[in-house]
Amino acid sequence: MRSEQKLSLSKSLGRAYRQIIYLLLFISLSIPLIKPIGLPVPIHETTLGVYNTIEALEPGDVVVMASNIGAAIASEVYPQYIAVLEHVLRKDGVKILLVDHSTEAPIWTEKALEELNAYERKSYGEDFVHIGFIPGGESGIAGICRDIHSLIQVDYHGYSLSELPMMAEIRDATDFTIVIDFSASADTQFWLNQAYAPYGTRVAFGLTAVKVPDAVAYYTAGQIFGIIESLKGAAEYEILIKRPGIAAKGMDAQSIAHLLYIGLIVVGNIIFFVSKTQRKR
Amino acid sequence: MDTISVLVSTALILMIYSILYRENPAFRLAENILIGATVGHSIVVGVFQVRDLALSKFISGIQTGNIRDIAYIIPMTLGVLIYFQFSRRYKSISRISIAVMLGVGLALSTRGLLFVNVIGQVKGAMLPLNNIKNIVYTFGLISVLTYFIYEERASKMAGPLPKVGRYLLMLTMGAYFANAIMGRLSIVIGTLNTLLMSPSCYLIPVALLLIVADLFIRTKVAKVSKT
Amino acid sequence: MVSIWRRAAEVILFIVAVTMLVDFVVEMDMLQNVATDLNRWATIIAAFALGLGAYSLLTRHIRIISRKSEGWPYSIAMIGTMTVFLLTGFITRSITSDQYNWIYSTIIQPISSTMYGMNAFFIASASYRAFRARNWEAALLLVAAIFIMLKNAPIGGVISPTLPAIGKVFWDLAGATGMRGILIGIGIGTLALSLRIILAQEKTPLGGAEE
Repeated sequence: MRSEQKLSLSKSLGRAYRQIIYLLLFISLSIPLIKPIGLPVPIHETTLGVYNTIEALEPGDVVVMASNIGAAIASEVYPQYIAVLEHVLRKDGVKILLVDHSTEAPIWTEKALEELNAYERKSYGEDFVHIGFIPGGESGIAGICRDIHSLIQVDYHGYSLSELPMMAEIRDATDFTIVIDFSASADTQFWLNQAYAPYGTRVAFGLTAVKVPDAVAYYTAGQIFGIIESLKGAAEYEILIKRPGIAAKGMDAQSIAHLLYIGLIVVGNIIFFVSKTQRKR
Repeated sequence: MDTISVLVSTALILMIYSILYRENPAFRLAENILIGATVGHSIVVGVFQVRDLALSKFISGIQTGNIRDIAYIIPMTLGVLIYFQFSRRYKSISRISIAVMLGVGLALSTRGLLFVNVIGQVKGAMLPLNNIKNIVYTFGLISVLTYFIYEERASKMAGPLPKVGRYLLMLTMGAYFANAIMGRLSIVIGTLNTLLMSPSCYLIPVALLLIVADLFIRTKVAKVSKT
Repeated sequence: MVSIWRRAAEVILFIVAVTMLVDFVVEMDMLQNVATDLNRWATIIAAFALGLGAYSLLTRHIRIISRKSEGWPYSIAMIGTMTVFLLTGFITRSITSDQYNWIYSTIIQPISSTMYGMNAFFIASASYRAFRARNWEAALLLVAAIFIMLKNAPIGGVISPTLPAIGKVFWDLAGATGMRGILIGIGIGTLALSLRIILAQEKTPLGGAEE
């Protein structure tokens, strides 16, 4: 009877291996979030590329922050957006043009502006303008790069672009100093295709981890000047601007969870090879 | 965010996470709520876009007599025609609208891809062969392209290139896999950050209690049905 | 027998695409105006197209509710939520209103990000159960993935500086060879397909082999 009970317990555990793994993952992520370990976060060259370029900006330069942030990718990309926006807001005289190319992005852009007190720190219309959502994907971005005033007449808040002093000097992509695109999908290609290729505008990306491998090829070819890679890149940027936030806090959890994944792969393969050897015998 | 909003969103998050335990009505409800919300949001945004980008210009065109603004009736008409997709008899009419969108999209992506993906990447790959690293990278890229284009059909003259290319692609897939893990973990970390804050964290024990109760009931039912 | 609408669509696609492509290489004011207008028109048609999925979804779920098919209460929840968003958006006349922001951040935001993050759990169970080094290629994939994971996470450098260094070697090699090769392949493949579509050699985008 006892051995039957033991057998059924191990059988049950075997059947419930998925739930056990899910629970282990929850624990490995939750504990470092509740009690941070404080592991050092190394700064990568791709993040430094963005940071150094923004540091070198001069008064009068125009930074286009293009956002494709949606709820699905916000956990990875929104901390990057906040960190970069904070950095640019600290640069006196630099103009910021905030453009959205997804339906959800305008809400996140406004959230970021409120979180950083941008409306109090800077003058809307003179230092920064939020254009809002541009539909049409690549054709919308092409329209902005070609002639922003003919595509858009009013900004996100309903003000006419012609009434905003900053927009008097910004007509097309030749007036953009740099473009930083925060995105997750093939949309990253759009700014390269429409701003970099025809006009030579310098472009950088803030990406989800899945898109980073594609962007690395652009970076090594010199087509973009930097990449902020997922939550890790956001953590690095927060450290560079000396404003640690949600991203830096999450890196400890990333580390422990990564060890869990590596452990699962190794253990799974050990079990596989051992049982394979036993079957051969 | 006010307390009601936090509690509602926490409940929705926990309803989604309940699928990790097993398929259940709470998950399906949350899933359908998301679909409805996303679709509703898209419609609202679409309508406002048409209002701001086309309708207002058309109306001002009528008032001022500007031909280019009056011409906005054309894309608005084409936009309406796209809904003929759903008619079995007049489906072909929607192709005109698709043709305009497709033509613009293809032209934009063609000129972009040519300069960025093809010319730009080939330029970036032209490294001076004066050190081991550059020689390895150039040989590796040629191998990968050989494998891409010819796969197993490469002639014997290609030698080990396709096989090397295949191995390098496996390495690349490993990189994609590692980054996919990092990306998904980042999203879960963001969600857990929300869940572990007050007052959201008080709903976690409630959810756990419900799961334990369900487990207990199902075990009991299984035992009764066995006997 | 190809329908007249299909032929007209092919001709329009050709004219629009060629106009935009020629505008890229030839500097002419009239051509630039036409290309700019075409660009804007495509943007407007895309805004209309946002409703396509909604229409299709609505008709399907209304059918489910009217026939009381399996899962009909969920269809009611779906349509109810959609109605709430529509009413809030149209009554407040803006997606920037406090009320719309409230429902967006309460409903879409949490569920959407949670759904996306579910993959992390499924990958974890697959890592244990399915990712097997059955041959050299699979082994290479897993070894590269492990070292790159140790490069990505700060813990790799804490355990030993060699681990992220090896990960970087794999990462740089993958970036300069595989990722670049994939991008070039995508570029050439897409260019070839685009040319075929513009020259009406590819039937699928404009309705396929129906006619």
